[in-house]
Parts: sequence; structure tokens; C-alpha cells
Amino acid sequence: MTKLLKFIFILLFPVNIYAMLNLELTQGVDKAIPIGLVSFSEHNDIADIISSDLQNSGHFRVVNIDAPQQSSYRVQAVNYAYWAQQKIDNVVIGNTKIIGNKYKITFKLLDVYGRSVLLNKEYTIPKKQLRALAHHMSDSIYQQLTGKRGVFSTKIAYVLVQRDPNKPTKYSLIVSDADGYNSQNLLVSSEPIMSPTWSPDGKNIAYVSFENKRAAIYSQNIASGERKIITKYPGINGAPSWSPDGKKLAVVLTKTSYPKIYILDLATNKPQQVTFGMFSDTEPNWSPDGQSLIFTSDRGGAPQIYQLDIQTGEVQRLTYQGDYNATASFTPNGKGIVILNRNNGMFNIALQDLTTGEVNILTEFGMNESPSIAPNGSMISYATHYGGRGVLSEVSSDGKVKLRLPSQEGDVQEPAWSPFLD
Amino acid sequence: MLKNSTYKWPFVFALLLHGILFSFLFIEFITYHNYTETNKPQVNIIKATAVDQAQVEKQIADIKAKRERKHQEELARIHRLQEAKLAKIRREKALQKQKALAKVKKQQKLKTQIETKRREEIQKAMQQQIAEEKQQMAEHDRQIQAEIDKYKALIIQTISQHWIIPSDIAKNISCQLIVNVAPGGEILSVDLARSSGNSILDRSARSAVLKSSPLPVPRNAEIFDNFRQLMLTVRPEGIEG
Repeated sequence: MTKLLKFIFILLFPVNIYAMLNLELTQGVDKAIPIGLVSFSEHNDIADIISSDLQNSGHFRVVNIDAPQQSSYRVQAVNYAYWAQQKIDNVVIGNTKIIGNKYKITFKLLDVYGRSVLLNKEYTIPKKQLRALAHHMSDSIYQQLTGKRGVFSTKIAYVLVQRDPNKPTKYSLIVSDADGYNSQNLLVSSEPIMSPTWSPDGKNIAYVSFENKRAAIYSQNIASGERKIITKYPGINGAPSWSPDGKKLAVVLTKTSYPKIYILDLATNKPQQVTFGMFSDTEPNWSPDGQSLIFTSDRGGAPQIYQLDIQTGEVQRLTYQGDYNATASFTPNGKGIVILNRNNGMFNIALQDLTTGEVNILTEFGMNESPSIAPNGSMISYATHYGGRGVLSEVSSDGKVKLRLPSQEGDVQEPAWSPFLD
Repeated sequence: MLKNSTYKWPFVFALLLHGILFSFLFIEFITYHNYTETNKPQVNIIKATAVDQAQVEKQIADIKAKRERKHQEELARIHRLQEAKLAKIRREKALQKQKALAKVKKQQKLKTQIETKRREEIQKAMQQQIAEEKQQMAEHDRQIQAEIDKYKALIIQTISQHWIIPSDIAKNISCQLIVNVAPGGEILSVDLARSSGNSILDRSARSAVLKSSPLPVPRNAEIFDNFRQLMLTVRPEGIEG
């Protein structure tokens, strides 16, 4: 009887018994993606550059493998089961051949669990372009695996101050790769250099130089070194910021007795005052849509960040947390601002969400300054004090990854992250 | 099927009972009939002799007539008596028959009542048995379901620990994977049933599943059958601590 009932039951409700079981996965872990990197070649350190790029982005956990040279770059020889056992999601294999004074480099990005080739590229480059190629390859891998554009091929401009009791202080405007390597001097001076800022196309850098004993704003072409003076008004000529379309420059001038924001049309070099009143306004930065400027002002007492609607001239205060906020810049998506926040005497880099007003402090120890966000919004470069000197540092936008970048002896000041350069 | 087997015996029994009752009726009738035969009324017949021819004849005739009349009267009387008696007997017979019928009917009614009661009891007992069996089955199913739910949770927990949620992924997209599992939990294959439209999410989901092999599955073969093929919907909602 039981069997009979069961049979009827099964006839009536077959779905309940033998249907595909439905499961729903909604929670995961916030971990770096494991990626295996098989050494490319004994001739160069390309795999090491890619390895540190990926590792330092915070998105990857790189596992370097010295694989047998001969078979390492052949997809057929890849032992997927081995990598799967190591729980490694992706593997980069490659090979380097020397052809005269050139390298012929091939590399493949493999999806271990899908057993498929995600990237398969081949380059022939002059030997000196190895580092640039390595960063380019890192960008390709990063984009393929995270869906976001990498910033390994971007650059950072900063001012290096080298003090020597026996010599005049040396100020250098330096442009390096985003990882701090491959630094080049753009300008060396015995007078202060300040506030470097990139043009939106990445071809020019505007900065303030005191080389003629007083402040003037210059614009310099990076490739040719050619430069021109933008402003040299009496008093302050400071804090230049390029408009998103590259046609205007917001600057700080003291044409009246207070520092005020002016917008300068680069075609005519004519400045137009946009903030007014008897208080100091400085450090302008354009919103990505070019409709507004944010700036630091002491109009409320202590310095705070305000936003100016360029069309209407309306000004509203943006920052309320901390007793001091300065050096603000928009995130690339325009939804947040990066600020230097002071609270109880501690200067830290923070990210403020403009929708919620939430402020996320990203650094610690309170001796940080000059935040500048990467064009993909993933990292923020800043200057900090370490070992008795100013060093170049980076922090990820979520605060999880912090890096100190290599730089020459001296104090690093005012890093500025470039836009995408290709 | 169920009904036939349930009422088969009661039905046969009822049929038999009806037969017996009917036969009782028949037997009683016959006995009564015998009784009426033996009690038929006896009639005395008087014989006369002639003395004086004429007178006698007349007398005889008178007497005859008288007698005849008397006889006729007597006959009539006897006949009436007989009729009355017969009528009485008939009435009694009818009454008796009626009584017997009533008795039979009463007995029949009683039998029916008993039968109905018995049938109800059987039915009740059967229903109870069915209910018990159903309950047992439900209990069994519940136990199986609890086991299935337990392993579903274990599987999700395992995959969750291996699923690296792509950073900045949209929260309103999802993909579906069909996962084929061997006894013991070894994953045989993972097929993308529906893409999220984002290859990074799709890949992260598949990698997470394959990294979780072998999955925790029930040892019981019957319960494991439920886990041979899984439809996994992957929807990035949150990060586990």
C-alpha cells in the first residue's frame, strides 16, 4: 500500500522529486584574483615588471613560477590541472626572443578553469621600450580580468626638493611611470616649483615656477620640452587646473587683495574672475562635465571645500567633516571628491561620496598631502613623510592597498597623476 | 482499485446475508401451508328412512324439505362458520405473515445497521492507516528535504568562499550555470546556461564552482540523486566577511 501511494505521489509531483536542484549564490569574497606568472625569459625582467604591476594594483595575488624554459610558453604544454589544483584562476605564459637589438615577445593569458586563451599577443620592440611594453601588457591583463582600464602605462608628475647644506636647494619637476620607475626631469631649478597639473590630453603640464624670483604659471610640452608663460601677474599666480576640454585654465590670482579663482581662456590668455568676496579661495579643480569648479575657501572660517556653478555663480559648501579640508579633486566619474582632511591635527587623504556625504579616510599617521587620483579612479597618489623625508605613495580608493613608490633622494611634493596617455 | 479491494468482502457478505434471509422467508411459508391442510373442518352427514308412503311421503317431503331446509341452513351455517373460521385463519395467517415480515425486516434493518457500522469502522480504520502512512511519508519527505536543504546550504557556503566577486560589478546582473556532479561531489562539468552579459562575472562564477570541487554532497545515494545536476544562479549582492 505504501509503495502504491508513493507511486501515486511521484506521478502527482514528479517535479519535486527529480527536478534540477536550484541554488543561488549571492555572497562571495573580496579577495585578490590569483594569477600565475611563468617567467618569460632569462634575458630581461619583463615578467617581474608585470608581476609587481599586478600585485601592486591590489586586484591580484601573483604567483611567480620558474617553469622549464622550453615548454613554458606553449599553450599545449600548460598543465591546467596543476594550476587548478593550486586554485589559480589565470596564468600568464610568454616567451622572449632576441632579434638584433630588438625583443620579440609573445604572451598569452589563460583562463585555468575555462581552459581557454583570453589574450594572445606578440610584439617586436626596441630593447629600451621593454618597461613600457611590460606596463602595456599589465594593462591588457588588468582590463581583461577586471573589466576596467588599467593605469600601469600612465605617469605621475611630482616635484622633488633636494636640500644640501653646502649647495643651493634643488627643485626638479619629474615625470615617472605610475610605478615610480623611469623618472625623467622636466625642469630643474634653484627656485621653488609648485602645483604641476596635466592637460587633459596628457601632452602638457602646467605648473608654478619661481625661477624669475616671483611666481608665474608655465605650460610645458612633455615631448618637446617647449614651454610658455600663461600668467605672471603681480602677487600670487597659483594652483592651475585644466578644464576637461583643455581650452581653459582655472588659476588663483591676487588681482584684488585676496586670492581669488579666475578662469583663463588659453586662446586669449584673458583671465575672468569667478569667485568674489573678502576671503581666500584657492586650489580650483574642474568637475568632469566642465560645469563647475570645486575649490578651497576660508569663507566659513577654517578652510573647507566649496563648489561653484560656473554658469550661475552659485557657491555651496561640500565638506563638513573635520576641522579643515583642502586640495580637493573630483573622482573620474564625478561622484566623489578626493580631499586632504584634517581632524585633530592629523592630515589624511580621504574620499567623500558626493551623493551620501560619507567620508572615507584612506591613510593614517596624519602626515599626508596632495592627493591626486588615477584616471580609472582605482588609486590615489599622495605625498607622505617616511624616514624623515617626503616620499611618493599610493593608496587604493578603498584604502586596502598602500604602496611607497621609489624616488630619488629628496622630498617628494605634489604628485599629479596623468590622464590616460594612449 | 483502492475501492474495489476495500468493499469487496463487505459486499460479498451482504449478498450472502440477503440470500439467507430470503431463504428463511420461504421456509416459514411452507410450514404454515402444511398446518392449514391438517385442520380442515369435518362435516357430519345425517341419513333418513321412509314410514307412511303418502303421509310419510309428505311428511318425508316436509321433513325432507324441513331437513333439507335445515340441512341447507345447517350447511349455510356451517358454511358461514367455516367461512368465518377461514377468514379468521386467513387474517391470522396474514397477520402472522405480516409479523414474520416485520421481524425479517427488523432483522434485516439490524443487520444493515451492523453492516453499515462495521463498514464505517473498516473505512475509518483504513482512512486512519492511510493518514498514518501519509504522515510517515510526509515525515520521510521532510527528513529528505531537510537533508537536501542542509547540503544545499553547505554547497553554497563552499562556493561562496571561493567566489572572488569582481570589483565594482553591477549588482543587478546574474548568470546561470548548470553543474553536473558525480557521487562524492566531484564536479564533472560546468556549463553556462545563461550569461550575465558580463564575461568577467560569468568567468568568476565558473571558476568559483570548479575551485569548490569536490562539493559537499550527501552520501546517501537516494538523496544524492537530487544533486546530480544543479542549476546555480549567481547574483553578486554582497561580500562575506
